[in-house]
Formats: sequence, structure tokens, C-alpha cells
Amino acid sequence: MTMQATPGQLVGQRVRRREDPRLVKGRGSYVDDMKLPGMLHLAFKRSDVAHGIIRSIDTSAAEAMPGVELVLTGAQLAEIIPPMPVATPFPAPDHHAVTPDRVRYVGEPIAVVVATDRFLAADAADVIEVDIEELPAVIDPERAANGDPAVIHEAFENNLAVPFAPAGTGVNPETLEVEDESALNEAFENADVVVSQRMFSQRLVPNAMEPRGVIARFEPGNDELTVWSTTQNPHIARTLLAAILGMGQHQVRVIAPDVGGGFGSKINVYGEDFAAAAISRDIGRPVKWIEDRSEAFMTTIHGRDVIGYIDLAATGEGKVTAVKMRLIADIGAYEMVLTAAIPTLVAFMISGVYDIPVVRAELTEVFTNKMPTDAYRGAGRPEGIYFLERAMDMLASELGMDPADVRRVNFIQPDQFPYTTAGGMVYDSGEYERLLDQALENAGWEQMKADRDAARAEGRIVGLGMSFYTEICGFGPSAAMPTVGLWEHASVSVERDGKVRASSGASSHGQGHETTFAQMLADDLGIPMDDISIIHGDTGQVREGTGTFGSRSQVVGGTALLMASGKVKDKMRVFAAQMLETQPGDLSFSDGMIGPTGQEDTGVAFAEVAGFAYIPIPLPPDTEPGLSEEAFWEPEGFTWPFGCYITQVEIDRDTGELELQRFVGVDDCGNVINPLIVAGQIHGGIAQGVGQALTEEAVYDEGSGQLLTASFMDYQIPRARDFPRFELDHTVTPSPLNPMGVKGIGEAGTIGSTPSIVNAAVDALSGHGVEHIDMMLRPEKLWRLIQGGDA
Amino acid sequence: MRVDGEHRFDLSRSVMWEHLLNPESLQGAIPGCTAFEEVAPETWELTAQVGVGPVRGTFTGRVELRDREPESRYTLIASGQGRPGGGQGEAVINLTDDGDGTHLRYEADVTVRGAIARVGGRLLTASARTMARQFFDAIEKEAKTATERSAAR
Repeated sequence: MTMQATPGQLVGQRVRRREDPRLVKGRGSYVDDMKLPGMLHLAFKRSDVAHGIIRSIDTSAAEAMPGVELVLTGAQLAEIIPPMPVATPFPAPDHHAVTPDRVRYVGEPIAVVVATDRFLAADAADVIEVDIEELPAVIDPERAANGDPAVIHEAFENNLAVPFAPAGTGVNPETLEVEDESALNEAFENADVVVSQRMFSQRLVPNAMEPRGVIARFEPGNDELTVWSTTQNPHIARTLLAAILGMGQHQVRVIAPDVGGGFGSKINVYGEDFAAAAISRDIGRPVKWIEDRSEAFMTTIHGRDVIGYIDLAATGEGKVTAVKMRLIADIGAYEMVLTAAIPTLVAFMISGVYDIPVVRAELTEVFTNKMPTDAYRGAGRPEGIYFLERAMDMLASELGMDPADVRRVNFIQPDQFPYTTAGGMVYDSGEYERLLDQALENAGWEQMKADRDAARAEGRIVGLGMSFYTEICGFGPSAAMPTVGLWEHASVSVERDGKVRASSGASSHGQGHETTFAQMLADDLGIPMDDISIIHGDTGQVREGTGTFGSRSQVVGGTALLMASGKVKDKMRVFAAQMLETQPGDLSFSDGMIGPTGQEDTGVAFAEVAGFAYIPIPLPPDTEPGLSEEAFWEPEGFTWPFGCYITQVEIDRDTGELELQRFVGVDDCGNVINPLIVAGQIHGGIAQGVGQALTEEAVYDEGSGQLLTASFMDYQIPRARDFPRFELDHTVTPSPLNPMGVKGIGEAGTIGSTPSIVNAAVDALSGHGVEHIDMMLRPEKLWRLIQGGDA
Repeated sequence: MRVDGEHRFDLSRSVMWEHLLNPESLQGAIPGCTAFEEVAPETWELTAQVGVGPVRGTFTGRVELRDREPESRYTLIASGQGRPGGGQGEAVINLTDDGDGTHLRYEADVTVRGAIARVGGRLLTASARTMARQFFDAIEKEAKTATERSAAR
């Protein structure tokens, strides 16, 4: 593995995750593990129909059941809390925690039962009678955009939620009018070859291993609300809960204990969370709600669901001269916290890793009678890269070029960075050709092609796929999310005994922050990792924060920690300098000692300096006792990791089953803190990206709007046996935008793997006249193509 | 969702027609039926215990008979609701002679909602076919018993 890292003893090492012994031995502590005295349980009555008007609700039978303390309809709950917030600048329809009047998707809450245990609550919810006047279900987004067969929100004509176009693409981002068509027209008129294809990045269910859950405890004695939540971002949850409940931020504490995965789906604060908080405040008792798996399928946000009409113009040598994407995003029935922002990221990805002079992206977000979409691992970037990388392969095929060559002639060159795309994105750094060459060498690309051709000569259906991704990471400057802010906060406190408590607003829900952050601080402070504890996931212990999403924790959270650590070190130098009778500026930290740079072992022990800082006799001039510092840090721009995934697939002629035979990946996420954790993130990402390509699709019935894939019987996530050994490697192109030169890796695998697999399948079936296949690539679809029919 | 199928009865078309529309025979033949009451001409309300895979429960429903063409064709409009969800459907039933017996063909359009919908179409179709077969077997048995009884008299 090629790898260079910032100097130090632990950064760059494959340090095993400190949290794993706890998590894998069942010693973690999750929301559902918590039991509070006097706690009641919630169950939600949910809509069985996709679209309709609530005529009446009869809760009398539920209220009469044993153990039932309270039943609230949506209208009753709406009297104590306002509609839910969004964090995007786009207009949004009212979205109540529990709907008061209309239902707009299957699973939408209609009423909530409060009972002494969850089973009594669920039984009572079952007997609530709801009379709903059914309206036609709006399922097809392209029909929906004409108001067909119904309009879901009166204020949004033709179900149009958000029209959007990035600046700099010839479209006025304010009026969305096309101002300059000439460059685009010229490119397509003069093109030697044009590739056009409708593609679909289908709707997915995030499926975190731990479903959502919440406990809300309002203490009437001191007007304080504590919420235990499966959130990825406790501080955002705190801010939104306080706003909706009309409380001060100082009165609300949100705790995310161990959280079993999120993949973006736990960024949101959901109706159940607001309802739990409001009910606890109303009745003065703690309440708990834990989502069941069926609810997780229906009522946790979905991902993707974007149709792309892609047109690509190129010269006969394969140089791309223009790309046009007309995007239709099916965002479901409402806007949630980031719903409307996610598809805009698809538009921002339009250039990929290529130097494309003219681009045009036009996006329409459409309401349908489905669960709202929001961020799911990759969030907008997988869709954009899929569309572009499929089109690049179609171009290669059209010109009879090697897919590697068509990419190579279009790469943005190293001396062009920082590079501004035609769509206005600024890329921090990149060295694409070096990485491509590494991938081709590791894969043995020429041999792979020869082997494929030999296999085909035997009548086997074998294909090779390639994708080259970049992605927007390290979210980011606050301007990218003006309603929330996108900095991160950290604190580092050195205790009297020289042990360190450090906190971060980036809250781990499986990523391994407790390990990587400690590695980084151990090197910076020159002390053992075991002397450092990392605190996260509690707004009562971590003063401020943004959260873990958009591959930002190491980039933004890690840098904030380093800043706070730097401040503590400056102060320790002052105390140490007095002890050593020298100048603070000359002192460094190494191996538990603070001393002159290069001769730290002649100095004074880190723990001794810590002790002195708390009993400073005499106190150095202009210095406060103690060692506790905090820092906020915000990057000036996004980071842009990149990578190339080469895959080989074989399709069974008789069954249509696709076997993924090789997966060769080279990623560049800048400097690497912990290669083991980076590999873990890539492995998990690949699994989810392959899932989209091969087995996963959330399907709603066109007529009734029922979710047809509402359990693991009908929604297949891939298993370990579906994968070959991943052959992974790295190049290192540090980001100039943060002191560690890191870029983020949480989503890369998901983004790069999907197009590579589909490209391989299309290559495999190219002899059958196949130019494109929409995901997912289920065996029946492939079998029909082999038989010469339509997919 | 579309569910269709066929069934062969040993008894003649006129006998089967009589029993397929006879409330007493129906109550005995509908799988899990615990109550069956005529509430209007050719309209019945019923209660039945039904299970689809892991989802089980008591359903109350309404069945209406329409477009009756004696001994050859009729349409059933049905709707039902229970704790695990609900559904509605329309079934067209055609009877033709098949030697000494009767050939029945049914074509139903069914929409379901709730937990029943979520257990998956594959299970649902199989369950519906199984229930149809149970129903036809039971109604034929009823018809045979009644025929033998009247023959013995």
C-alpha cells in the first residue's frame, strides 16, 4: 500500500478501533437500552393509504384499553407544536409531526398512543379507527410534474417543489431562465459524437442496523428537557427541538449514546422525536419510542430517486466538449431537514473529474405520495457520478475507445488546481492520471481485457467496468448550509494528572472517532492514546457542534481538535518554560515529555506540567490556571477526494445471475490517519454501492401507492458472500485546505462502485446489443436481455 | 394486484351455481368465516380469520354480488378491514361446462394496504390462490353433501 502520512508515531498506523470491544461484545449502550423511572411508551397509528383526506378519527376504543394513558390525534398535537423545520433555503409545505388533516404517504403518522409499555401502545394504536377519503396516489414523478393524477400540496402547483440550476451554466439561478444557449448549442452542433441517455438512480432504503429511537424527559421542576436520540448530530437536533418547542437552547440537552449506523438517515429530526418531546413536556413524564423494522422501511427517509436525461457532446478523439443533465428528483411527500438540498448536489457533480468547458444542469424536484428522500450515503454525488460515468462509458463504446483512454484525455490536470468547474465548484487538489495508472497496473488491465475476450470466445458473458469519481467532502464552509452553519467545535482539557479529555461536535455513529481522534491527539501532545478519552454525542458535555455527515468528521472535526490542542499546548509551554527556566517558543512535546525541540527528554514530564498548571506556585504572569481550551474551525472550501474502481462481472447465461468477480479500487482521500478505518469505510461504502447496482430498490405500487418493498423479504441488501476480496490501494494528494491534508472517505465507496458495476454489466452484454441497463440489475432483467428481449 | 385461477368441479353447472350463491354454503366454505349476514339484497357482511404469512388477524368485510348471468357469470365486489390492514377487490367468475362437471375461472383485481401489503406480493398471491382453492374444495364438498342428502331422501 502506498501511503505517506504526517509525521508522528500513531497517525498513519493501522490502529485497531478502541470502541470495537465494547460494540461487538454487546457492551454498548443504545437508546433502547435506557430505562427511566416512570417512563411511558409511544406507538403511532399510521396511514395505510398513500393519499387521502382524514374524515374522522375514533380513538375511544384505544383510550379504553388497559395501560393507555393518552391518545392524541394529529390535530390535537398540532395545538402544542408547530410544523417541523427544514434547513434548506427552499420553500416547503407545512409538515406536521403527526398529520392533522391529510395523509400523503403510506406510514404517515395519524395519531399517537401513550401507554405503560410498547406492546399495549401498539395494540391500542391498532384499534384507532380512521376514516380516510382516498385520493389518487401520485407515484410517477414525471406524471406528477404535470399535476397528474393529483396535486399533493395546494400551494405547489403541478407538484413542483424546487426548480434549480447552478450558476455559471447559462441559466440564471434566480429566474431559472436560459440566458445564453450559444455555447451549449455550438458544442452540440460541432460535436463529432453525441451520447444521449435517460438514466435512473433508483430509490433506496438506508437500513441502518439500529432503527431510530428517542427518549424524551422533561423535568417540570427545572424546565429542562433531555432527549436521548439515535441522531448523527445532537447539536442540530438540540437547536431544532428547542426552536419547535419554543424553549431556549440552554434548556434542551440531546444525548446520542452508541448509535448503530445512520448513513445520513439519522441527520433528520423526525416527527416522532418532536412528538415525544412535546408529549413529555405536556404530561411531565419520560416517554420512549423505538422504531420497528417495518416502520424503518416506511418512515425513515429514503435516498436517491433521481431521473437524469444526459446528453454529452465530444470530439472524435473523445474530448468532451459539453454535458447537459436534465434532472427530475422524486422527493416524496414532504421536505425534511435537507431534502430539497440533496438533489442540488447531483447538479453540482456534473463535471466529475473532467475538464469540460460547457455544462448545463437543470433540476426539478417533484412531490409524490412516498416517504420523503434526504441524505443517504453519498447524497447526490452517487447519482451525479453514476450519470456521468455511464455516459463516459457510452462515449468510449461509441468511439471504440478503451474506457481508460476516454477518461485520460478529459482529466483535469494537476497544474489546473485549484480548479473551478464550469458549474462553479472549486476543486482543492487532484492528480487523476497518476491514480488511473496505479489502478490499471494493480488490476492488470491489459490482461483483464485479454482474459475477458478469451472468456467471451468460450461463450461466457464477461464484462469489465470502470468508474472514476470525485466527490464533494468535508462539509464545509457555512455558506453551503446557511441555515445551520458548517463549522465544527472541539475542546481539549488536560487534567491535573496529565490525562486528556477531548470533545468533538462530530458525533460518531460507527465511524471510529474515538480511535482516529485519539491517534491524532496522541501524536500532537506526545502522550499515549490510552491517556486520551474522546467525548462526543452529548450537548451537555460537548459545548457546540455540527455533526457527522458529508464525510466531514476528520476534515472539519479533526482540524478543530487540532486547533484546540494547539491552544492547550501553547499554554503548557508557558508553564513548562517557567519550570525549565527557558522560553516557551523553544519547547516541543514528545514521548510524554515537554522540552527543547529535539531534546524533549531533557525537559519536564507532560503530567508534571499538567499538575503545575492546576497548582501554579507561582502563577506565570498574564496566565490563567488550568488547561482547558476550545476551538471552532470552518474550512474555506470543500475537499474533493477521488478514485478509480475497476470491476469484472460474469453473467450466467441460463439464470441471468451476475457474479462480481473482481473489485480493484484505488482511492485518494489525502493523508490517511488510520488505514484500517479508511479501508473499513471503503468496504462498507462499496457494499452499499453494489447493493444499489445489483439488489436494492424501493418500489411503490403505481396504482395504490403501497410500499411493495417494505421488509427484507422484498428488499435485498447484499451479503458478505456476494463480494470478492476487495483489492484496494491509495495514492495521496493532500488537501491544501486543512493542516492535516485530509479529504474524507465515508462516502467514496458508495459513489464509485455503482457505475463501475453497471458499466461492467453493459460491457458484458454489449454483444447482445445492450447499450444501457437501468438499475437494479436483477437476474430476470439480465436474463431477458440475454434472450434478446427488453429488460 | 391481479390474482387469477381455475378450478374444476365434478358437479354440474346448475348445482354449482346454486351453491356458489347460497349464503349457507358460502358461510361454511369461506376459510376462517365466523359470521355471515345478509344486510341488503345480494349484499353480505362477514367476519373471517385470515393469515398471510406471518400476518394474521380478524377481518370484517362486505361482499356484493353484481352482473349476475345465471349459471355462467357473476362479479363479486369485496372490501375488508382488520388490524393488520385492509383491502378491496373485484372478482369476475365464469362458469362453463366441462364434461359432466364444471370449469370455473376467476379473475380478481385486489388492492391491499397495511401490514398485509408489506409482507410482499409473492406471499400474497400464493395465499390468495390457496384460500381460493380451500374455498372451492369446501363449497364442492358442501354441494356434494347436499346433493347426496337430497338423493337419499
